[in-house]
Amino acid sequence: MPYRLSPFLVLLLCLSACSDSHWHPDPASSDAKTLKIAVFGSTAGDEQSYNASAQAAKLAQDNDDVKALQGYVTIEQREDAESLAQAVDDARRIRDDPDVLAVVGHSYSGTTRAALPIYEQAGIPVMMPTATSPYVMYKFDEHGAWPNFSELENREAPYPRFRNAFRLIPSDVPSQVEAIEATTRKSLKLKPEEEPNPQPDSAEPAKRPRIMLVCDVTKRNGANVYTQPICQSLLRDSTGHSIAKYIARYREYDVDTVDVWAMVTEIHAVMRSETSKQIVFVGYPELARMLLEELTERSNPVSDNMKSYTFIMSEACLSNELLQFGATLYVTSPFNRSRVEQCLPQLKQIEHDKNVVLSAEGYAYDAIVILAKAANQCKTKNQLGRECVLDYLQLNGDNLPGKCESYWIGNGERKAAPYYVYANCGGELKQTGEVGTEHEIYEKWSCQQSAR
Amino acid sequence: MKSGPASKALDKYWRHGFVLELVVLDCVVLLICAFDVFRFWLGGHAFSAAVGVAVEKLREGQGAAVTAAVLLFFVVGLPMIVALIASLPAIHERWPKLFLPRSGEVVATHLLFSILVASFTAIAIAMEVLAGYENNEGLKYGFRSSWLGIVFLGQPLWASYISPIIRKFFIRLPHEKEPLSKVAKEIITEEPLESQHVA
Repeated sequence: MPYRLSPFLVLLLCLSACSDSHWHPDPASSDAKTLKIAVFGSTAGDEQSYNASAQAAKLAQDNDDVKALQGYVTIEQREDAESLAQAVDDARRIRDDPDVLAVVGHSYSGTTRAALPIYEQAGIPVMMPTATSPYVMYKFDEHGAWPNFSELENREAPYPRFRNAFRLIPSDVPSQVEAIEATTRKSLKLKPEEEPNPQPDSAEPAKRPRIMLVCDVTKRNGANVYTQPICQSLLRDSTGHSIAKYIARYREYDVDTVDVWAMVTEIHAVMRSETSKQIVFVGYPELARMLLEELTERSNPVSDNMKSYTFIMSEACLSNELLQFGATLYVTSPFNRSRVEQCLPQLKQIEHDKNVVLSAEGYAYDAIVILAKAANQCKTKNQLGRECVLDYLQLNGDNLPGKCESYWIGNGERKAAPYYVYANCGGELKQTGEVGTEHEIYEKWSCQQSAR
Repeated sequence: MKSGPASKALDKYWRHGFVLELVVLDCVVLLICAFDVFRFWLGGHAFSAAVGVAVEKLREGQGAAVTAAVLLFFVVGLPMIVALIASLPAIHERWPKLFLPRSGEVVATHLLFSILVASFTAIAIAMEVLAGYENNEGLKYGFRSSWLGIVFLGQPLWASYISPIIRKFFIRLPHEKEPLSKVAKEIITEEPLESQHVA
């Protein structure tokens, strides 16, 4: 009689033996002993190989809330992807890793947009210290035609949001767009809702200044995800603060396919008659550097002077390296350097030694602190897991205290956050002004005060 | 072939296991699966995400072994158990109307349910992984599938006793001229490790 059971036993044992320990690790025999908060940071584009998020993660180890999690949760720093494909691979690895409690990152809007749907599958809370594009927060088919950003919040056909995404940094639209517009108007010496250089008694009408708008639409690193909503907004002449009517030429360039010579030739042609050559650049430093290098190289043959150029750049270009070309530079940024220096004084020395502009350190640090507070509360309830952390972030969105500031996050978006303007102060980019609610720039820090 | 010994054995030990009660058993298993899905949904997770991830992982070969094993168990093993139970004199004499062999619809329904249950096994693995660990006095999955718990129940048996015997059975069987019953008896009564080299 026993032999009759043999085939059945074979199957039963095959069944019981077939557990896939790699894909479905048994917690008891897993290498993991604690949960992890994965902090993504990037050194790409920084000649000093400085990584703001990694620095914040290092400093956060000494925070009391983080220390209280010892033995339960660890902070793990990871190198960020520089391409969308790599970001998707990284996100899949995180999703398949059951000991990841939450993610801080990614560094770019494009990579964050690519990774978020994958994190959502596993309900992993994502705190975003640097991704600013409005596209990041919405679900839509990224392989199809992308919606116009103004359609995203259309009440009749709203695009759903990722419920696991929380942005500490204000969205580009409207915050950064308003900051760029205000900075450009200031640079052009325009007042809000006013034509340039009003000369009512003059017989000849005032000449309208011409600016050029350059948009980085590199697909490899997802720059287009970041820049397109900003550029589309800047081109829309919808408010009295708009600069659309002054944009003489709008060009989109992909770093991987751009003909830099042709790009600069076009700038020369457009700006030929302008005494002050204003260029609004929306994109990443890689393209900005290429453009500035070529402009500098060709300034002599065409009797051009780099000092006659004024660049108003988006926050991703907050880098001292771009000052070496001699052009006047304004960078709009949501990063409050003076506040970060106050709450994390250890960074002053690093800032000095590495010649970097403090940027995402405060937000990344606060993201870790907020997650640590959430994890501590979940631990006291014996529910330390992703679901509990997600619930904490959603329930306490109106007041999420970090170390550097408190955050009001509604629907995943940061509310009521100011924007700042950085300018060249003694060879370094320094925070000089704050963009007010009336689209005015208030000079709160003089170059002398902010320069060392 | 119909009157051959292999066909007779198949009838006796497998085809006779396709009874109405087998479909009832399938339904019970599917109910357990449905309960798992409900609990997963209550936890704030999307079942569709687990399905998508399970398909993605199956394409990469992850979880394919256990899925195939469950399918084999349901298609081959379960009817065998039922056929065995049905042939027990106590059952046969006491409830003669129970375990009546069926064909056609019952077979098709069982096969369909088997595929569903096997697919759900792969999905249940994805559900557990997607829910992630919780760390409350030690790591454990934030969501634990009841069905997957049943599937993995037999794991300790494999490691401790039976697997060497089964391995020997398959290694020795092709070389033996003795009847199947004799080989099986001999193998089961042997010391498991020593005889492996003999084979």
